[in-house]
Amino acid sequence: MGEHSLFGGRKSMFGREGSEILVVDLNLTPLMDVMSNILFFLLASFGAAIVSFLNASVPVQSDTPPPEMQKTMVVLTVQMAKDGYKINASNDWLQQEELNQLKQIIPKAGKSYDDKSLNAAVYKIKEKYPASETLMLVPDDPNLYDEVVSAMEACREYRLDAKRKVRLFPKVVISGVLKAD
Amino acid sequence: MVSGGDNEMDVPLNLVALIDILTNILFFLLVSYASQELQLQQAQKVKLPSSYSQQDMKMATVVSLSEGELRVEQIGVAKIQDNKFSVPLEGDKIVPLYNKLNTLRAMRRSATRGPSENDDVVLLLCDRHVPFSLLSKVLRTSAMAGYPNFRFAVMRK
Repeated sequence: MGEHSLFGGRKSMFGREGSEILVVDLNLTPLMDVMSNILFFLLASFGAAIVSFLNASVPVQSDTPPPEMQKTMVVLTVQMAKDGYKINASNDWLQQEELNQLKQIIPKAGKSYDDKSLNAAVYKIKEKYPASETLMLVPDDPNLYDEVVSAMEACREYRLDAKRKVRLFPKVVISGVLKAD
Repeated sequence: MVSGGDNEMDVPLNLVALIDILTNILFFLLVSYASQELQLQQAQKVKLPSSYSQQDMKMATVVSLSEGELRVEQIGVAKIQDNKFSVPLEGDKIVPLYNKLNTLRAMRRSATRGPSENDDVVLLLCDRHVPFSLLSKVLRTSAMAGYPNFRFAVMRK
């Protein structure tokens, strides 16, 4: 005789069965074990490092004519010189005097580049020429990759406060790379 | 609900809700992990710079540049000694990198039967301490091999 449950049925390999009601008890313990193991492994990996990326390009020769520029945009050039950032702007449709007003030099703060001042200066230019998107970044040979990325970062967005930010120059062209042979 | 025999008590726990939650977390983590696994494997010897960029990783031809070695898709193509590539150069062109990128480009095109979205993009994993003199050669060579667009991998701040 087999064991009887509350419902009067016998215990079978799938659970307990009565005359009318069949109760199936699935053994979920191995499934829980496997899932917990995978979960802890993934949680550990997930917290380790999160990778993102910044877009950039290098100038290439092209047969197509350059796009026509509006008067509300400029192409910004940031040169990473030994003594600091040198900012220039260009637009064939604007007067040279107007462009000259945008020229400025941001000296280094100690031994490192002053990214905060660059960020503020670029934001002012973006406010004046809101359709601008392209930045020509001209690093020097001794510059480290970290400094190049910091300059890109300073020209990418401006944080108004903790939540609001303004997109500045997301199209970055690393110039000074393709030299004439 | 309690059921049991004469001398023992069986207390069935309802694990369904818990398994639902675990499954959801598991799928979320699997999706996130799958997109970053390759990059993290390659970035082990490369200390990436940090950025506030929040863009999700998109696959492309992976080139990693550390202070000691240049790799393409995890295969070493050039050693670096004293901030110089110890392989044949033609001007600024790193010949082994140029050849490898050309081969990969041809393979991708034949696999996809024509140009696709990420054909001309290099995902660059570059160590933060690498000088621009080295990086510029990699950028220039990639552009010559038909990869003028780059995604600079960074660690999210």
